[in-house]
Amino acid sequence: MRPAVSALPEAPIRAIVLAALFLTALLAAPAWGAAVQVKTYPVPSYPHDVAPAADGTVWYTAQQQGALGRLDPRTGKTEQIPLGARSAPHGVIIGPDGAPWVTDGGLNAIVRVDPASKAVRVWPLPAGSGYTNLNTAAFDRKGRVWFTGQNGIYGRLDPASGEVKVWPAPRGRGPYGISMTPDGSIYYASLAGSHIARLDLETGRATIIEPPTPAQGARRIWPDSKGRLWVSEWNAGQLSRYDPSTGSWKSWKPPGDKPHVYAVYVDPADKVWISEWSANAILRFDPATERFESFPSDKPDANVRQLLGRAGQVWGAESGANRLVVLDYGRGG
Amino acid sequence: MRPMIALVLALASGPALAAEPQGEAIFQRCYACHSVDPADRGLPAPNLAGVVGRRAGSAPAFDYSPAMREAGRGGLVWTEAALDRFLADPAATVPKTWMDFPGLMDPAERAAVIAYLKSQPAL
Repeated sequence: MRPAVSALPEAPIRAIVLAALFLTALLAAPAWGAAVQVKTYPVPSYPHDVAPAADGTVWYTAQQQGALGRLDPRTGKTEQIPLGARSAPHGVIIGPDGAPWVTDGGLNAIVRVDPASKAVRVWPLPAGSGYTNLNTAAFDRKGRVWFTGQNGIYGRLDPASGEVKVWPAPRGRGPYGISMTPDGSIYYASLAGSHIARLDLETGRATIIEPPTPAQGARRIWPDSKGRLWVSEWNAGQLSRYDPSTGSWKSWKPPGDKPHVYAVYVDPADKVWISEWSANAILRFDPATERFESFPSDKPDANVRQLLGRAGQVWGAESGANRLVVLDYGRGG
Repeated sequence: MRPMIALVLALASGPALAAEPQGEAIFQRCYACHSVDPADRGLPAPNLAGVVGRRAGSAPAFDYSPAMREAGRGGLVWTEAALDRFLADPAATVPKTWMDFPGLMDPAERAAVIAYLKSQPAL
């Protein structure tokens, strides 16, 4: 018996085959451009950092209102939880307990907000720490919170015991972004100090790693699945990658005149997302092709100060537009 | 009587004497990005040595935001009054400034930090 399809006239067969080939090519291609859906959500005021939680909610720091915000993307509704007098929260991350943890420069404290009761718990830095300008935090595998203070410190909170320890940063002011690699190591970036550093999680000692570009202004740092560190270099206007296994560095300049690279986040497929202020855009970088793809904001001077993701999504805080933005690239992207 | 005289003297001279140390303490909120040491370069924000009286967006070799450069071209000069307005609400005074600072709400704190800046050597 001949296949039924052969009974069809020749031209339609050609059309079907071409359509099938086109569809196959489309599905095989990387999820660039049109595959990314961009959506924005207005928030009351100046979101600095953003952290999407696994339960679907999204938390953000309302730095100028001394509050932690919570967005429900299903309804677009926001709620702001006041963190206390003089609060000025900078960073927010989601802890292993599913709760938002905040680095609050105004309170000079690490803050946890219970996602259900909204209860606020505060761990002040030890007396004598002075004003540290707390910036960002990251959990280690023992459930301890490591944090940076831009005035020249880094520290560790053990929520189980309540102990907070603070160390002076080796070159003073600068510690900014901080994150944990897949093998459990913690690294921070020093903006004013123009370096990155690896922390010994038991002694607290910081080992400086010098990027090859002088005075590059390493602002934020994020690992890929292989443990390589991606660094947004504000002064140099470039994206750099440090490979701890070889000690090697490589840098890429985003397109355009005088780029300013602020935030960096690496998704589970090892695509690197950055915010670039001169282009007023979020860019996706593919390390395999070494190409950038741009997703410009539809508002001027959106000034995205941080990026963070969850499955299939990257969230950004448009501090200059009073909005959160989500780029939905799909789980295969 | 003597304690009363001492108290009156302290009240009369207090703010002037206290402004600089208090201003230096308040400057810690600016310290992560700014310096008043003329030798410091390459920080995330412009060097503030001699900032009082300087045109906005004009510190040598600093990569300002377009908004701050434009404010300077438009005639903004960092007089004490202009600094007071800016420190009270940076985003309202220079919209789209890249400076990431919520502002100093307390006028006395602003006055103290401006006095401290004024006391520093120029670039």
